[in-house]
Amino acid sequence: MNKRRVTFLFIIVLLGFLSVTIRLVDLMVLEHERLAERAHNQHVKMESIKPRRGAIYDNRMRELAVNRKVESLYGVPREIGDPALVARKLSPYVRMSDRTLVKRLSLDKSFVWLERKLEDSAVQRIKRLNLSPQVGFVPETRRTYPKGSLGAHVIGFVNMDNKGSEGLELKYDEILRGRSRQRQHGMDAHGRALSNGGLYSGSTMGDSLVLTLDEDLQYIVEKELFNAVKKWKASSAVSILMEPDTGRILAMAVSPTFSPERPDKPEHWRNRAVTDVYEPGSTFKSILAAAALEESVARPSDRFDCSKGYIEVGGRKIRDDHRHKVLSFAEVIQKSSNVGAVKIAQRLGKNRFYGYIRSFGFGAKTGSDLPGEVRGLLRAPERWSGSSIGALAVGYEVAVTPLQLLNAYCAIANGGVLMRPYIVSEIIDADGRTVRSFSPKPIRRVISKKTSAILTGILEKVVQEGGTAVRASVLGNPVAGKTGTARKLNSNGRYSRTRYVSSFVGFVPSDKPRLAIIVVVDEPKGAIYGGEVAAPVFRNIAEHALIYLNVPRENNGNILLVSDER
Amino acid sequence: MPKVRKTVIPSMRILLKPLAVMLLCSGVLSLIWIRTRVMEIRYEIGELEKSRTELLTEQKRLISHKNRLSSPARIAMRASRLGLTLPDRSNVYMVRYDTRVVRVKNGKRIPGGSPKL
Repeated sequence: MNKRRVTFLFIIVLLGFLSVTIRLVDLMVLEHERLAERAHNQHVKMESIKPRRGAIYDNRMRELAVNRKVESLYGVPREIGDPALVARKLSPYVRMSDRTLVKRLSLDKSFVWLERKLEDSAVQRIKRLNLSPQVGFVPETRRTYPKGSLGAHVIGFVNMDNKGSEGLELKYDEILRGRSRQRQHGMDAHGRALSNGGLYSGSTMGDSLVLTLDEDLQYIVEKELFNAVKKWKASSAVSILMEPDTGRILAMAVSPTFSPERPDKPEHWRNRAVTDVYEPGSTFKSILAAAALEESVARPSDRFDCSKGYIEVGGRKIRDDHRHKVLSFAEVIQKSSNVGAVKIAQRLGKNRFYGYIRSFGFGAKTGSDLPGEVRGLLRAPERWSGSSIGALAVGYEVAVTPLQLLNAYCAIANGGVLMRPYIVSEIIDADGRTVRSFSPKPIRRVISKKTSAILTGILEKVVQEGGTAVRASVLGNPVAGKTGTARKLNSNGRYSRTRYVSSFVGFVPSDKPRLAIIVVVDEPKGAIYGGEVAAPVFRNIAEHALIYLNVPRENNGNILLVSDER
Repeated sequence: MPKVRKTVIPSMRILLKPLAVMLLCSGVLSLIWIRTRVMEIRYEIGELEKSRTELLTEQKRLISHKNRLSSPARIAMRASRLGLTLPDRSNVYMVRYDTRVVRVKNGKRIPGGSPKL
């Protein structure tokens, strides 16, 4: 009996063990994959990390555009019993009327946006209202521009979803945007985070841009431009500052400007330095002079009779603003004689003149990396009228962008090589490693070094006593440049007698150019001449920029030598 | 030789069993302790990661704030309030170290040297 009981007990225990073993085999072998996956899902949480937009830096790695973490407010209408009450509580923090808010909170939905990218203070106040789960927050990033409107036309701005809308933000959107990634982290039964050693599946941050733009130079240019627009009650003004040897754009400003964080006036968004064209007037005479000297159709000492005060070309009279006598080639440029310029152009001939205009880059995009650049307007010689050669000699019947004209002057300044202007010097990744870098690119040689030197000497005279731009002279360093005063076309196709574009373009120090600067003031009131309106702006920009760049005065006049002899 | 075997082996056998049990127990306990510590450390790292993220966010916010404060426009505005103006070029002097001058150090004449401005 006792033996039977033991046997029975043994069988029971054996069956027990057997059932446990079978279950274990089922769990650990047959159902292994399914259960392992289920366990993994319970313990490991996959979190989607939103892309972070790359930053934009100036040439000294100072932030011009960065991201800031903010929170956006959403509502859960299905959870809301009294939409009017919730709307009343939230109304001080959202930019919509009470009526619209109530309407939105009454929808038969489980998610509605109430306010995107709220300020921190507003988020804290809303959280104190304890409206959860009727409303909630979603973390987002907001594009911020720490320097305010500085360089707004170049940098541009993004829309609410952080997509580039204007400027470099638009042009380099693909590079800046970044990619959303997945991150996994462990979780315990209470949902608390358990680190698994930080297994990120890569950075979400887009690449960043390093510009050639210099924050301080940009400020100098913007300030002077703002003052000029204010002083002359101009409709707008543009200025660009470039390195003639490299084509690096150090500053580019348009006035009036706008705030990239609150871009409210679309008419101010255009980067007129590359998107708008104008007839350059007398500043174009330098191109004519360069062509004439290079082709040896004129020498600086050649004399031109300008005493008549006008010249007839193709049945059209082209006049000088001031009566001159017989002028040398150099004086034609120095005094900006239209009559003399037309005579030089006639010697050169339309085909050769057109060839040089094209060679200097007019009628084609400069190849800069700025968005919205236009090629300007330039007709081929076969489409010129009888008076076209005269008009082109004095900077009409050709429309250029300020960047095109400055780039052409850079070629004169650097010894005759047309460079490709550029504003992005480097693309770097989230760890600061260089992804791509951009270096100066010569496009072609347009004039010889000798012509460049002769023309620079002539352009220096423009800024000296007897020239049209004495007010562009800079204390301590020689300046070479040219003024321009061009009438604007009326809607009836005739040139206006009241609306002008005043400009000055030049480089400094002319013997060893460090900076090339263009200033274009549109429709100034009270004065019209480039020498009066734009030249002083050039001088102010040049003087402050030279101080900033530690460029010594000529003959080292402002250098103090020190030693530490002890 | 056979005599020695008879005396040593039984006493070893008595010790082996508790020793094995002790080893097994300590091994199991060690495993449990290590596992607990791993979990504790994972919690700690999780907390540290969280605070690192928060600190990085704060750092970015502060850098951004500093950049706003140091913008040229703001500095110019502050400077003008203090009555400061940008200098005229005639008032700006550049200080350059004269490398032709020699200095005497430990009785030796050394040309130039680093500028002490």
